[in-house]
Amino acid sequence: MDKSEILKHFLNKGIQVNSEALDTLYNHPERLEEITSMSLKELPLVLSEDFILKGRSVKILKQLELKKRYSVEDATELINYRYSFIKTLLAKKNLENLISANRISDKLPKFTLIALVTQVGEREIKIEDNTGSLTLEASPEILEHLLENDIVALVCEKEEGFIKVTEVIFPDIEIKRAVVKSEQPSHITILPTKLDIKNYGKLLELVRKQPSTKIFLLETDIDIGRLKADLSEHEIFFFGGEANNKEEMLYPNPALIEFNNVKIFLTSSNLLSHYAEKWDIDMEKTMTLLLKRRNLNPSSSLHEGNIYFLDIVPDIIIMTKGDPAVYNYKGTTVLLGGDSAVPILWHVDLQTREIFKTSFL
Amino acid sequence: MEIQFQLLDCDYIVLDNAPIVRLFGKTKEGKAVCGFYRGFYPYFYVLPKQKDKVVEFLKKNFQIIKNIEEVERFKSINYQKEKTKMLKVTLTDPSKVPEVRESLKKESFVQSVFESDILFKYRFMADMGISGFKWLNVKGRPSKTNTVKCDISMDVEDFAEVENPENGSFKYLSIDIETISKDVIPDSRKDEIGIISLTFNPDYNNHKSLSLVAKRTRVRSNVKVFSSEKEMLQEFLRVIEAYDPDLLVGYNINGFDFPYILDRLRENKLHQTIGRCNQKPASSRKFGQQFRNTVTGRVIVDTYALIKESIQKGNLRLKRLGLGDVSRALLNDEKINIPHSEIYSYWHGTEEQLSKLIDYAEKDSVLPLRLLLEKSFIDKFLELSKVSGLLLQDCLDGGEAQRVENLLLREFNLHSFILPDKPVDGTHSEETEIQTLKGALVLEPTLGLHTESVVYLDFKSMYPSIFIAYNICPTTLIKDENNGADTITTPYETKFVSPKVREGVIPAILKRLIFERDKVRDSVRKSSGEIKRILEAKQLALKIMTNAFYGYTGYLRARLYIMEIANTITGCGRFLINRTKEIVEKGTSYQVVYGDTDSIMVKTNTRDLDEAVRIGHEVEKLVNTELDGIVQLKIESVYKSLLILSKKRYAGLSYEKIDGEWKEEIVMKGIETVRRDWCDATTKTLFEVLNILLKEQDTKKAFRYVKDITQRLERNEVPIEDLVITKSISKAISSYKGIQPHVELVKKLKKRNGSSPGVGDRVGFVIVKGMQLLSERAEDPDYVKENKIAVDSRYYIENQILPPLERVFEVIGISKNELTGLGRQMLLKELFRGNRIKPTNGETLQQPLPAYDSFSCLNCDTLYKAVPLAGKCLQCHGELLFEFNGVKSRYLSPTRLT
Repeated sequence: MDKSEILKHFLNKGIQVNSEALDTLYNHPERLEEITSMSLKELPLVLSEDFILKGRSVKILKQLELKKRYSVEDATELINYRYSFIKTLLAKKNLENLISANRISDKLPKFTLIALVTQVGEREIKIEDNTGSLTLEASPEILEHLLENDIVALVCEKEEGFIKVTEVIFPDIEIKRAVVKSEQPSHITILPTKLDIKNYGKLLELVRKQPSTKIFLLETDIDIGRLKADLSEHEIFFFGGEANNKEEMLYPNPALIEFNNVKIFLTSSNLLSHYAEKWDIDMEKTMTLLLKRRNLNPSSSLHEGNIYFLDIVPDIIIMTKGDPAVYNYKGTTVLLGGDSAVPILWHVDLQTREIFKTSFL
Repeated sequence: MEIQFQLLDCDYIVLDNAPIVRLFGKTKEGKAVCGFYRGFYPYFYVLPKQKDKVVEFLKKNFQIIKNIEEVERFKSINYQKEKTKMLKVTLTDPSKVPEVRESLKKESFVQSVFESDILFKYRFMADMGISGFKWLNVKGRPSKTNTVKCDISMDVEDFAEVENPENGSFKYLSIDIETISKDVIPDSRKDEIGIISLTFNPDYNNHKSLSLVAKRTRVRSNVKVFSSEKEMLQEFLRVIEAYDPDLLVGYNINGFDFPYILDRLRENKLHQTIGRCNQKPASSRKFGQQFRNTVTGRVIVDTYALIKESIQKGNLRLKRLGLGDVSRALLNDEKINIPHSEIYSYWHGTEEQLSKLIDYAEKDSVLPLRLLLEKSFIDKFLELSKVSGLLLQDCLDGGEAQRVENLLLREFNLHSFILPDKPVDGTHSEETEIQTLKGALVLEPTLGLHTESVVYLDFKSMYPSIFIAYNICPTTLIKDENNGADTITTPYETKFVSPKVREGVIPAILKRLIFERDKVRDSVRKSSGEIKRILEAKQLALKIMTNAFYGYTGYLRARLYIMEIANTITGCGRFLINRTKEIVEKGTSYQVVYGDTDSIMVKTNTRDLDEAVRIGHEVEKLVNTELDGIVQLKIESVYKSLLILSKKRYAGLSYEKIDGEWKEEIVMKGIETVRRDWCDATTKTLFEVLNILLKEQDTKKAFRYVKDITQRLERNEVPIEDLVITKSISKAISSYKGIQPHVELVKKLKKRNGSSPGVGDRVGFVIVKGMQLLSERAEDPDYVKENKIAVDSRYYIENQILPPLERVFEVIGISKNELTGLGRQMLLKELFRGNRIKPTNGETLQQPLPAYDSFSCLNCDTLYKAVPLAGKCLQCHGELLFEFNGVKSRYLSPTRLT
């Protein structure tokens, strides 16, 4: 392929190629062949020389895949995928008298259903499974944290002709899950998304103390060009938003990535606050509830697809909005915060899974 | 003196250590009579192990033993050739019989006791050969006594039953009370009666009705006011005494009015001798949920109980049993409209309100009496009293077993048989674990709509015929194989002695009842007017008594409970039905399409009624010959068309020849055509569909009719009144465990209007469209009309109209899917989907939306917050669309990412 053909090939895929990258591709046909055979998921939006020569150390497992047009079938496919997935997980739990909606009868006054919640009332919910839909009674306590689109197991009792939910069982994360660590020494540093210029020097100082760390930036207002120049010894990964320098490698945001064997979910959206406010509980409890239902954003829109759906459970979740906090839940670490009034720098040792928080104060 | 009177009541008193039987009745001239009979004493039988010890024990321990004599009697269960020697123990005081009996039973020298639990009045009546409500010719002398309140009191020297088909003229007094209470259920210990409304038949002092009101108010001609409840009750007692009614009537008088009045009399320290005895007060005792009320010399008739019984027996079809509902259905009359929860406020309200309340109470006493007299609910019981021998009050309050046993007592005693005492709890429980009562046979029906004539034949009195054919009776049952007697073996393989050896008492009773019924049937044809009405009631009573014997033999609490006999009867019945089917299908070219217990339906190959009858007679003759006279099969009617849905569920257009003319009737068995939770639209649709299918046999027309109703529903063209579902508030709202539409509506009404229906009131509601859950969409019909709110047509179609029709259409080949418009056949699907309310703009649906707030169904407009798993509408399986701000589209094209 000549250079114009190479350029045309990648532009047709929606990928830009900077001039050095084009030269490098032209001069490294074996690498060109490798890269042209990669899927879009694996390629950055802007191909750089760095990428061509080194490859991608960050593997994208999941990202938003936008379409121009969605149909109701897409919505159906999405919900059914989730339903089947969760149903398989729940079915492995020791559920008492597990049946489907069409098998409810007086012979079995206590039973369990795996169902999609389609509507939540004050003291009733409507649910659906593959065999039918029905309305169940439930106390406000049971319904408190249930949302439409939840897929849960419901322990029910038939009482005076009505079916009452007595317990909700979420799919949850496996308790025996091992804590995943990188095999070799590996560190990442998450920079705050907003930073006052007066703290720039401090930032450099803090980062330079960790010479081998990789830098993760999400939707930042920091001047990336300047940062790259000042931290040339570090590898910097930019996730989503408007990169100051469009030629830089841009990773999707939100995204589930794998870096040195550790799966990391990153997003700069304000999900946690949204649900914490809705449920009127603290962030940690909110996070726990979201992890239990295997969905970080149960109210996500159709075009967001399954990005927040935890069919793959991340080892680390990074959300850059919200008050700084760290939680651990069954082997998954959650890091929050990055745009607070006081900028925070997070440093994660992927080999030990230790977290270090540095405030700019 | 010598008089004739019709027996109303019988009891006894004890005077000078001797019982005196009192017979209360009414002469033809309308005079109340009480006859005192002396010289009859209570007795029972003891089968001793050691006779002398029994005698010694009794004489030593009881002063009230009048006599002990040795007699010979037959025990009733199992055939015995010889009588058994036993002791007949006579006492002076009937009330002491239980004590003596229980003491004897504990003793080791006693084997068993017999007839020790027969009520003294029935002991007397059985021995003297007199029956309840029959005419007695009585000879005696006038009695000077102030213990009874009767026109005539006499000491009876001799009496005998006389035949008189007519009934005397009786005085009816209908009573209704209104209590003044803030509470949902009034407390008779503290809540006073405000109004006692009385309706008379015949009139009392030119009053048809009279209301007694315990509050000063405007005076009217039929209203009497008092300054206190006590004064009012005193007047009530005076009226009772002056009018001297024979029958006290009311709607749930047994469960409410009567016990309440007695309690209030007690609270006010007034006497409760409402009956014809000056000493014995009226009594009200609660047995579980039921009250047993007695008034000496009078009879209490609860119209509510009689109507309930009629519905249970299938003689009436009514959705609701409220007085207003029943009156509307049967009399075309209504209660005065005051919600139950507002009675208290009306009582304390304006003069107009109080006046309306008085009218309300008056109507509540008028209606039960009208129902009783105009609809002749009591006639059957008057005749049952005569046939069974029980007093009228016990006939009204008691069950079939009591009637049968009273008849058995008389007949068994006549033949020197004695009855065992009633079993105590647990006596037969072990036996029932081993054997269970096996039921009658129901043949597998040929489902569908039969358009060629089907002849309905039944076995004339099958079970009684089986009793007679095999001489089945406890007295003829053979347990000992080596008895040596000449026996009959039934198809169930039980053995009974041949009637040549001994005719069973039960078969003899049954023969007599059947013979009498045939005689009465002939008399009915020749009579008219009042006599005809009485004879028809007698015919019915005889039929009821005849058919009661089978059930009695399988009743655990029966004195003569023998499971083997009950199973023998049904076993023989099953054998006969099966054999009949075999005979018909092998001996003719006709098919038995259904058979149940004692009847079969044979499908002919003709549509001509007369030809069908001819075929019916052919079948009759063939079967009766083959069955050798065990039972007689007889043609009852012809169905011109017959729709069989399942076992015990069918509807047919029946024709019966009466006086040379064919009489047409739609007969329905086992098909619920009225249900409390159905709206009128449902009932009307079901009736009309059956009508079309049976009369016109036009499946497509029936289907079109249903389609038309569903379309009219979708267009909101069905009157709201036809869509109202009614449920009653039976307890405080906070007590309801479940969430129910009518309860949620009451809460809504309270918030909206400040007031709402209360306990005891009925709430009518309709289900309106919306996204909320069903119970939140129950709405007041008036509110819906005023605000022009759309009714949820899909709810009514799916949950009201279609369910009762599904089975009907299924058996005629239209599946549920087709009925709801899902059919594989495009034509049917289109039939249901035609004429949609909103026209579809194909172009609009293709234009993508920038976002969506819900999904909605293209066909029925049902909204969903989340897309169903099926990807289709859950109501009608229609296509789903995105919806945003009321605009729909098949596509979404989001403008920005989050």
